[in-house]
Amino acid sequence: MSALLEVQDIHTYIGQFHILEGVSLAANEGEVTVMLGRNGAGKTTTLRSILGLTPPRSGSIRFAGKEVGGLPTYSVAQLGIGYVPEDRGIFTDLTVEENLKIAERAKGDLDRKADLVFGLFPDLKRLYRLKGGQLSGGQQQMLAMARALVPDNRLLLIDEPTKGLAPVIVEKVMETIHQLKETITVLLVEQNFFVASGIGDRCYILDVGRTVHAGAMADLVRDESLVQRYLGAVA
Amino acid sequence: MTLETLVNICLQGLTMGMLFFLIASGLSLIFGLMDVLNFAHGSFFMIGAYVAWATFDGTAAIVPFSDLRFAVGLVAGALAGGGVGALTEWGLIRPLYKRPIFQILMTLGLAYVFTEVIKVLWGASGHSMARPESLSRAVDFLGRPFPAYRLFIIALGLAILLVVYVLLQRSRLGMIIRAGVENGEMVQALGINVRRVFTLVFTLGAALAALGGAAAAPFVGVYPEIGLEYQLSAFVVVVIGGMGSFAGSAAASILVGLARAFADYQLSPLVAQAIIVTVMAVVLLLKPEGIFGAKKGGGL
Amino acid sequence: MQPVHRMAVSSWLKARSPWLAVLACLTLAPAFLNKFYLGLMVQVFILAVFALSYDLLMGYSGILSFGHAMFFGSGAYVVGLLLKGAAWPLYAALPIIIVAAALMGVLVGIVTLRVRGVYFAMITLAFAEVIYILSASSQLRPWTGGDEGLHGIPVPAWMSPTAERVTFYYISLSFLVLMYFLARRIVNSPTGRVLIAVRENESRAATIGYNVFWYKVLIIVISGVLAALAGGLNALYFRNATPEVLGVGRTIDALLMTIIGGMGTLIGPVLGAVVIRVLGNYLADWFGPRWPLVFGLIFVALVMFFPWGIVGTVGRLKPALRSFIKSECGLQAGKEGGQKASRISDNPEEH
Repeated sequence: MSALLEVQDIHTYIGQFHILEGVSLAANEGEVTVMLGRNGAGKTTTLRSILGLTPPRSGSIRFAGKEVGGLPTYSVAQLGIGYVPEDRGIFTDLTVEENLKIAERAKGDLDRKADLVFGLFPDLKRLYRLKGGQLSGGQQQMLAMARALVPDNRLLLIDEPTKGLAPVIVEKVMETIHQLKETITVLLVEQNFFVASGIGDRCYILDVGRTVHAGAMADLVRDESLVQRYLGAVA
Repeated sequence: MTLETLVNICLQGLTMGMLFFLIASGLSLIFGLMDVLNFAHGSFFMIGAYVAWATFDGTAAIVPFSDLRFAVGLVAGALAGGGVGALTEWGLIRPLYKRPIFQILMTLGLAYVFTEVIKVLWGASGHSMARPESLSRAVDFLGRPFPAYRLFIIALGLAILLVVYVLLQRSRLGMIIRAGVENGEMVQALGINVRRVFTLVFTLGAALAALGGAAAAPFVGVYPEIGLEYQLSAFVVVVIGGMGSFAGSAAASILVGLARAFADYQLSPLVAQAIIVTVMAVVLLLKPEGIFGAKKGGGL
Repeated sequence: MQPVHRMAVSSWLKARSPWLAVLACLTLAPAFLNKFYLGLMVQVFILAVFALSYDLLMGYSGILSFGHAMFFGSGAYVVGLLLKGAAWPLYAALPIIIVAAALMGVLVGIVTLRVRGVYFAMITLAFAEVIYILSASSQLRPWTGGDEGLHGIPVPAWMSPTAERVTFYYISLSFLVLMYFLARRIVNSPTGRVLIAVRENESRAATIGYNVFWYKVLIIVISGVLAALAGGLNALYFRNATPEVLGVGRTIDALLMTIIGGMGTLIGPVLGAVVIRVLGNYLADWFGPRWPLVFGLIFVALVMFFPWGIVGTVGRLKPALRSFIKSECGLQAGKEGGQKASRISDNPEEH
């Protein structure tokens, strides 16, 4: 098993604030890698740094053996990385169809991926003509994930997909991510320890902008003191 | 006020509204997409007006058909504005995306430079431009003569409105623009080079403004202050219509045009201008995102 | 005098010796300069106060106004209207300048501060344009003189800019020195520090509990009064008030001086005024009517290549070139060089 994505000691600043002070992690092909940590630990900034939305000042980011640090965001994405941000990034003024179509990198991407996309998210067919802004939070989450699957992506960066969703929907999102594993590698930020431990293969804990723990998910579940120390009440 | 006067004022308002629309739509899209409030946008209007006038007058000795010269002038004006716009975005705006305040200062400085260049080239005082032959007649409209040239401006404005609307709603580029206005970062994260779209939209916006200027030239003449003057109206329009909203700027243009026409008729053009700016201030106070507003905020 | 005090005084003098030397030179200048150069210096002093007032807004408070000329011009027109139109004495006009500018500042502040950033710049430009249009309008010609403006404003004989130029020179110099220390006082006061905090992070300053809105109104009023006083003195010096003093060009003047000198430094804009007026004097000779174009091109080049101005660039070169390059990568206007990066306690990801 090889690492599809390798992040080495990145440092990221936002304005004058040193947000990431040395984050390292790796996502193995075909696995779900989970990033855990308190609010403000730097999880979202790590995802944004990988995509070049907040480019790191130092450190290295390798995707599929290629250094992507310093590339513009669109180039990084074109290499095969899909992004599902915390706020879902749905274009509210565009229809569901347009939200999917805009992600096409080659003409006909959506038609080719129709079986996969609508197989995982059958509801979207019914909502096809609605505007993104008319969807519920759960539906937007589905659409955001579906959109990331339209082009030939090899890695999905998913940021807190269960935040603010009803328990029933959370189950559904988990189920979907589980199914995704068969086709795509996932790097997931998840605050909900129950969700994270349910679907993660490997996990990293971030604290104050640093990677403080790396290991198999199964080991973390057994290590109660570590969970208490870095995740506190979350667990 | 008789019905004929009313119709006349409405047509006059529509004429002005269409000119406002041509300059405001680009301003609004550029701001919505790129977060650049382009204080040099009026300059493109001015450039269009001057180039159209210079082409029209300069070729008078060679080409006897004024209609042809006028058409060429319109195209030349729009192309010149678009060309200068493209160069501006590529050379002067693009390096400053990380320093938004300086980007605004740049556009303000450019507005000044462009006006001075025009003065150097064609003098500080204005020039009038004749209307092409077939459009210099008056058309009978509900029993009253109405200058055909104004009807032409209205038709041109409506045609452009339709074309841009279809472009925005039906094409992939339009889809990207609409998405980019809402969330430019996400568009990039989908693998789309937004910067290239920026240049395109800036160029297109500049060309539209220049076309407006070219169409306005035979109507109001050309003079160096024309850019800033129409830009001011365009600001009012985008504030009322909502920054980044194309439909909003179209509707607000017509609204402001009509308001101007009625105020011009009842009061004086000066008071009309002052009233409209006051209306803008009120809208900003009550509903900063505009009456038809799409995008909130406007922070640097 | 106790030794402690003597030491304090001597160290105070030592720290400020270059500035005291400059001030001494300026005080002695009338002995060496002819009338023309004294006049040039007067214009420098007036413009310096105008630029200073702009720096309070843009440099210290991060408020980008494109309508600052309306304050400068209002001062000029108040002087013109009252002295020429109503035959008021100068001492009576002075408080009116201040009151008019303060009222205008409150009004502009209350109306425009609901919106931020570019919207603010846009609406201030619109306001200034309306006032400009009004000043030039032919309907108001009986009062304002229309597009020609007011000429031949009566100036008290003892301070006549032509006959008593040396007196006028000292008045302008004292005016600048006074306003400079006033501005310095303001930025170093608790109020000034709040404004800088607002510039750096408005929502954070608001969270701490400052009423950001009224602080901003306050600085607009102060800056407006300073600009109006400069405009009033300008009207006295040239004995006229024309629509030009209300135009966008004036605002660009202020911008240019602030940026040339270095925004957020107070002394920068003063240097900027020297550069613009003195250098401008020669450039205007060389380029003749093309001078405004050259002026505009210089502005564009500065914005592109030297956004931190004379003072800012020198300040940035000192701590090492490295920090200059760092600051180029996405810092906002007017940040102090070499600031240590620190973490904020709340969640930075959520912003």
